[in-house]
Amino acid sequence: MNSIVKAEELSCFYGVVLGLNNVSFEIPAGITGLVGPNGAGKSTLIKLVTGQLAPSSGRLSVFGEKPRNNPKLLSRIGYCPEREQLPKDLRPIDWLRSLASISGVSWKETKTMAEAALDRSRLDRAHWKKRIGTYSKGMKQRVKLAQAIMHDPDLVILDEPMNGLDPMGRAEFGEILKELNQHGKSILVSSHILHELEFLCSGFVMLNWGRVLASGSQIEIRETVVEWSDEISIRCSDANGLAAHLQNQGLIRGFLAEGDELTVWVNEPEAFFKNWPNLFKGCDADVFEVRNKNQALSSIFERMTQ
Amino acid sequence: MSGANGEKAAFGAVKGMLYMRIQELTTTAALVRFAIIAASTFGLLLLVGFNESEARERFQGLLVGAFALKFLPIFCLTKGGETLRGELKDGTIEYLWVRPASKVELYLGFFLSGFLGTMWIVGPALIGISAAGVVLGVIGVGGLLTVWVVSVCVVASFTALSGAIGAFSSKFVVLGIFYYSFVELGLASIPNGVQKLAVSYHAENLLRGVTFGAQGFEVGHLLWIAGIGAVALGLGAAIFSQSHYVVGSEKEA
Repeated sequence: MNSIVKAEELSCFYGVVLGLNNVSFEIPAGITGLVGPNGAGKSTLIKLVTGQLAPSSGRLSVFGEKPRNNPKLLSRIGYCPEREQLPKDLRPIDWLRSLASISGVSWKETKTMAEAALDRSRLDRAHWKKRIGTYSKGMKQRVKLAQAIMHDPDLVILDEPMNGLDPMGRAEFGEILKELNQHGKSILVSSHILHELEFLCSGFVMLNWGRVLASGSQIEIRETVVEWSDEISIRCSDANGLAAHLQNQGLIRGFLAEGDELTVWVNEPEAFFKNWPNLFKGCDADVFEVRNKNQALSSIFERMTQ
Repeated sequence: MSGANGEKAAFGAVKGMLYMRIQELTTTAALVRFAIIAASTFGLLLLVGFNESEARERFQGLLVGAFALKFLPIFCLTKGGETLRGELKDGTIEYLWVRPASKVELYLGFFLSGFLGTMWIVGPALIGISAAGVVLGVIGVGGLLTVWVVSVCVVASFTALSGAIGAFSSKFVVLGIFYYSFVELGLASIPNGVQKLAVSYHAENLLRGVTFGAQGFEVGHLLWIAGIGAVALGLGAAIFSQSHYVVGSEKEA
């Protein structure tokens, strides 16, 4: 695997407080979700990757280099912190120009760079002349994203970027991230909004209590789940017909049909899920989707953290 | 990140941080505050000195005793560390830390924007004082120049001291007052050279008799003030570079 971030036996402690405890994982190119409840170690990991913290032990490399005290590497990383606090008296364009200058961009270029970033983060130009303190949460998130992508970094790290966004805003934010990914940028996004990351991310690192519970693609993580729920949801054209078909084969011990949604309780969950295409043969109903309750990322994570 | 020619612009961090501070200081509210301070200082001194036979002495006493030796040290020592500590408390410092700039350069930016912020309060007060002095006819051009040069140097030096204290501890206000009491009031009264460690001692010597235009300007005192400030600036940069701060908290890691 051509990894962008590689951690080997990585630990980080704040005095006696545990941040990350002996974790090893690799993050490939693409959009990767960093998932975990509060205190799981997500922000610690992000601070390590952005060089804000030094590892207590173990090794961490980003693009093959150590991130701590490495300005050259930092120029390839864009970071959007979780905190909402922004300089309220500044206009976004002025703030972005200052940050670009701090990064070493010549003053003449900062304006073009800042404007392009605000356009890419889809902040309406009508708001550019207002001071950031007057902005809504959604607008602030866009400004935060703009400062992270302004310098065209190879890796964009976003700590809980969906916080405070309404569903439409989240969807649009997701689109921006996908667009960035299509332009060859890798993205590491942390969130506790799992179901949204499920559709956004190609891979995940699941954290809890400073440890990695699972990492890899959605399929790889699902394969680590050994226990299958006996509750399976099937979306089909004839729920009652399909239920009767499965019952006649003695595969289910109960069912609930609601419109095109059929929920069945199967006798042997794993065997059922692995062979379901054959089991539906001989039934006239069209099957559109089969879901095991435990196969949702959120369900997997819930079980792992129990 | 760098410019189109691939080279990092020199002093980019300092420029960027100063630009940010200038934008903050030129809001309508900040400009109104500036005007109010200038007008009220002018009015106050005019009232104090108006139609008084001892206007010159009173002006000298207010300028040196109250403004230069009390207001400036206390204000700067309790305000200078605010720039860095404010960013740490708000968490906005995270946006700076992840930029490809050295911590020393960032600290220099903090110092200069802190200096600018302090001057934005001290400056209008000085404008008011100068205007009142001219109107009352108690200070000449040479005296005014001395007052301005000494004040700017004193502000820079105390801002650097407060910045270093702020880099060391979040309790910079309390420690700043302690520094003022111990060094500026305490050491300044000890003879045989020890008093030279106090900025106030040098400021007092430079401003003594400034309204009378009789005393000569001793550059040595100014160098002492600049030297103390430079040492504080270096110390602050070293502390800032080596410290681990907990963002969003007032405690150091």
